[in-house]
Amino acid sequence: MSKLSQDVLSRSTRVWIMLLSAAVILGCGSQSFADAYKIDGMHSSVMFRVKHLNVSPFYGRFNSVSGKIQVNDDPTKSTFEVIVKTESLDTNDKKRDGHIKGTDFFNVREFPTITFKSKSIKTGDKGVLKVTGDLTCHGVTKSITVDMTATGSGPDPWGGFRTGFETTFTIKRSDYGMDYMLKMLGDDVKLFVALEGVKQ
Amino acid sequence: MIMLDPLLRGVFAPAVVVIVMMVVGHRIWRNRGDRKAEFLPAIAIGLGVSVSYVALFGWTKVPPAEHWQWTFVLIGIATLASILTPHLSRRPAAGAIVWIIIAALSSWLIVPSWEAFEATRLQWHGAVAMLVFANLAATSRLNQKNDGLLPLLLLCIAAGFGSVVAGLAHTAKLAQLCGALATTLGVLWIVGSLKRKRGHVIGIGAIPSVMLPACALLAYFYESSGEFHPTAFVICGALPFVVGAAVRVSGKRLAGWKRVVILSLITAIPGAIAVILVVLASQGDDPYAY
Repeated sequence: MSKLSQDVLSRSTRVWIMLLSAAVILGCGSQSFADAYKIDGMHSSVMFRVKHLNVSPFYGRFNSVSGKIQVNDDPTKSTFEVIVKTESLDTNDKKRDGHIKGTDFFNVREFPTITFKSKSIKTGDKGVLKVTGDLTCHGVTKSITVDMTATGSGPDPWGGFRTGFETTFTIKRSDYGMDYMLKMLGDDVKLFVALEGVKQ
Repeated sequence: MIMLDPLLRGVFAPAVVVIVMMVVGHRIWRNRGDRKAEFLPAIAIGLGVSVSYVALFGWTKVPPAEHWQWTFVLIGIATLASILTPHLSRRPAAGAIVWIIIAALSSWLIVPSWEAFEATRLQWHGAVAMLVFANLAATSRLNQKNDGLLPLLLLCIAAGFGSVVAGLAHTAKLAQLCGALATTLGVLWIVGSLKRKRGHVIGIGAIPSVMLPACALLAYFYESSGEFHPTAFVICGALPFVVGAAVRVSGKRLAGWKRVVILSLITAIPGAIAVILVVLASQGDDPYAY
């Protein structure tokens, strides 16, 4: 093979490489990247606040939180799916837990999970995401919109990568068929949700 | 803590229904003979408990959203059984067939199809059906002519214990339902004592025969912590059988206050044992003291 032909080949190879690179760059530009995160139940919290006898609020938590988060570089294409086991309810009182888990409130036998699945996301002020999704609790599904804040992201000491989100919102328990003893325990239930996801 | 609202809905509402039914109903039927009015106490109790259910928990769709809400349907089935009893007590074979059908239906509606009871579901179906059948068979022959009004008081005591046990098992709704049943039976006993009319007792046992096992065992099925043994709940569910058997066995051998005291004790002792078992299991006497 002559030197001239080698130059021609290398030139054509270079052109192909450039074309392929351009295609890849353009292709990537037209679609966004999504990272999948698994919710780390150990470092995620779902807490609730409800008023007792219309006097003072008490707080409870659910100890089992799981689910997944898809974080997209276009935030409106991200997704959240959160699953809470109702059996894991904990109000720091065994008797009260037993009562709240029973037929009078959560009915954990028949409704073992509370789920939230996002349907759409809009960007709000200061990076807050307006996440609209279906909240299913006590067998009732209702669409709600919550303000989700990205709390941070970064590497962990074990070689993984983590991201965090937080939201606070209020629901009426009577909207979800839990309308028993409304005079003793308030209708408004404020939820505090903090999620930590581990990149998969 | 005693709150007025649940008392109005769970105690006063069924009491008023029973009083109105028995006073107004008897006024309407007084010229038609006692036999025609035999169904009035059954309707009074069934309606009283139903009114209480709706006042406390609202209307229930069929099929209901939650398993325990089948109790609303069970009230209707038990009331029907109660209305039929006076007629079936004269036809034992037909009565047995109807009791078997009601026992099977009750078992189907009481035992849940949840995964937690997958392994023991068949046994539970058999046990609940036998319990309801035994209750119906034992109480179906109670009547005022032979037994006086005492069975009403005894069944009221039994329902009261059912209410306490369901409440201790963290199911206030089922406790209130049992409480409403106890109220209707107690008020019927008072009405009957004040105005002695026949037909206050016959057939009445059918309603607690179905509803007490329903409330007591549903309380057990819903309790998710696993701290309770089913014995206490089965004992409560069997209290109508205890009442029926005790009244029939004692017959006319006991009379007056001696009869009232002894039969009340025979009813109360197993009820108290059930309460003690649940209290010991839950390590406390008030499940709502928080």
